[in-house]
Amino acid sequence: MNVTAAPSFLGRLRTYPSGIVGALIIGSMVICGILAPILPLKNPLALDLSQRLMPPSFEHLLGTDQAGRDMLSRIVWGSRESLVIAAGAVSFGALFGVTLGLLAGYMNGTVLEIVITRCFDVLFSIPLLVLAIALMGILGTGPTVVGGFIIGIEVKLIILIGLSFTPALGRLSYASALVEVKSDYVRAKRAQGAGWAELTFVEILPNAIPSVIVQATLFIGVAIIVESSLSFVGLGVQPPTPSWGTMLADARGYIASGEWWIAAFPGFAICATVIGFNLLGDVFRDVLDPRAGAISSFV
Amino acid sequence: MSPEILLSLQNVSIGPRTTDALHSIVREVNMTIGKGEVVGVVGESGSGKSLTALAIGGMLPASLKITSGNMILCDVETTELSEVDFHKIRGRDISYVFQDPLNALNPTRTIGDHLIDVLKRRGNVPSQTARQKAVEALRSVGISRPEDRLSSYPHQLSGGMRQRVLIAMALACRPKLLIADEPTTALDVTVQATIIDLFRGIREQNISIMFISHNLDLVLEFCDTVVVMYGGRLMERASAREISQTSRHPYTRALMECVPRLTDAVGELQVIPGQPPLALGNIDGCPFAERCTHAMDICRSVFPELVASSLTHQVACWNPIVVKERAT
Repeated sequence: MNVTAAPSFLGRLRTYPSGIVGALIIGSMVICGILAPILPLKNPLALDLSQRLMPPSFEHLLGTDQAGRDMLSRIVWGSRESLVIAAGAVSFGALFGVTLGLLAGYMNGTVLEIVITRCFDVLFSIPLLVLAIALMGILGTGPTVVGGFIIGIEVKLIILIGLSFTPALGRLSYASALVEVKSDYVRAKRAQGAGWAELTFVEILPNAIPSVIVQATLFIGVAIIVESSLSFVGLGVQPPTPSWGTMLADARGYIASGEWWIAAFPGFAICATVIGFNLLGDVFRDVLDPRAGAISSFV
Repeated sequence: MSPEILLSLQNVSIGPRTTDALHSIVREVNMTIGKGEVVGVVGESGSGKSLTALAIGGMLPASLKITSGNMILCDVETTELSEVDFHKIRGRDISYVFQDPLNALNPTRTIGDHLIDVLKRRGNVPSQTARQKAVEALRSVGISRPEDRLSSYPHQLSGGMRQRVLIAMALACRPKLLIADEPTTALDVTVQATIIDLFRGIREQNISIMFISHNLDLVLEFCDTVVVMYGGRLMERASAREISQTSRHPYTRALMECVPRLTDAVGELQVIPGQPPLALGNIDGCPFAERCTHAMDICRSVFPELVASSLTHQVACWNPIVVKERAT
């Protein structure tokens, strides 16, 4: 028997065409977002009323909006806001949700389990958008000062959207932990003197995380939509900072009058990103399991 | 010969957390394990042997507890220890090897991760030497090319190799007592033999072993002392030689007769008629009485005391089989 190391993560990712498509979409989005300051783009905030509502041309590849700002430049700069808020919100939700979910699963049968799972239930029962709109309405869209720290709108959005992802990701890891905590390998580790923290975060976490990562990548798409929705109703990223949601909101007055590019391109950017993350999420499920490469490594 | 005592169970009963000792699943088990002694525990499924083993390390399921009796490990009373205190004992004084090696390794972590965890936790080993020690630990249980195996995942190893890895993990922290709960049951026969050889090697290192098995022959061949359990009760305890030659409990005898011999004439396999008791804890008498050919009236109402018939031989039976001492 010739045991070879399981193919690397990237090596296995290569065998999934849909994963490559997803990775290409997300990768180019991220790279454009990071490189936005040095790309040869026009100033996304520069108003030029003589150039307003210009259709796509060589000068303005994706046209201009109602204030004469370059659409391509605004979409690229807008991806920074959208992606950072989406990724931040999902990371925040995963960090909280997975930690609490694993603890609840490990402490199966205790009061802590009941407290955590009931908290999840309460959060889960409030519709995401309603909660987000209500809380943003209360907190306001300007910077809030909490104990000397100025909390900007982006951080508020990250915490708010992240909080609403917490119960779903928490329940997912809770369910995995409930199964894994009864497994033989956890018992064996416990018999060799592993404590609760090691069992929960070293042994159970790697087995619970694949399903969480799949769900989290899907949630990034949801987060982009929620952030866009909030920006669309004016409770998210504030003008003139470009974000895909505010751009869509601005464009709605011009859809009927024929200036289709103002609404179409930000909408297309949202769609492409969400689809990209969904494709990637599907593939992650298969790729993240170290057993997945087992058969080919024996042949 | 009375070796220094490492572990002693005195009238230990195990039962549900909610009820008293009368409804215990394991009742009044007395057992000692000396330093370097190999004790075999034999019994059918549900005889309480695994629960007894779990209780020794404080590993009982949350719904069960030790309802009465005392448990003394290395001169320390451990009956009432908290989870935190047991945590210090496990992996240092006591180590376990379980039945099913296929599921006892974390599928997402490499063999090296598993071993280095154990070494670091108990040995204060720095990272570089931990890796070296992990290689040595794998080599000592007979795994070829141990350096390469460190980066293998459990699914890349065969069942026998996984059990070797688990044994290496159990031994890595140099425990005083190794509890092996049917370590060979899930393996095929040829692999079983090599694992048993491995256990013979462990014996040489002066580590006490509690070896739980269905396989009476294996236990008789390998262990110093044999404990026979049935229905949550300890039936007979004796040296392996005494069990094989002069066992006195009808249940032990019946078990021995069930083992087919190559020298037997071809015929039907011997079985013990009847079923083991299902509802444990409700039987005041001997749990084996219903299936016993030697049963008397008193057997069904009162469980007999454990009576010593020699220095190393104790039987709990009202009507033990009388053995004519053979000249040896």
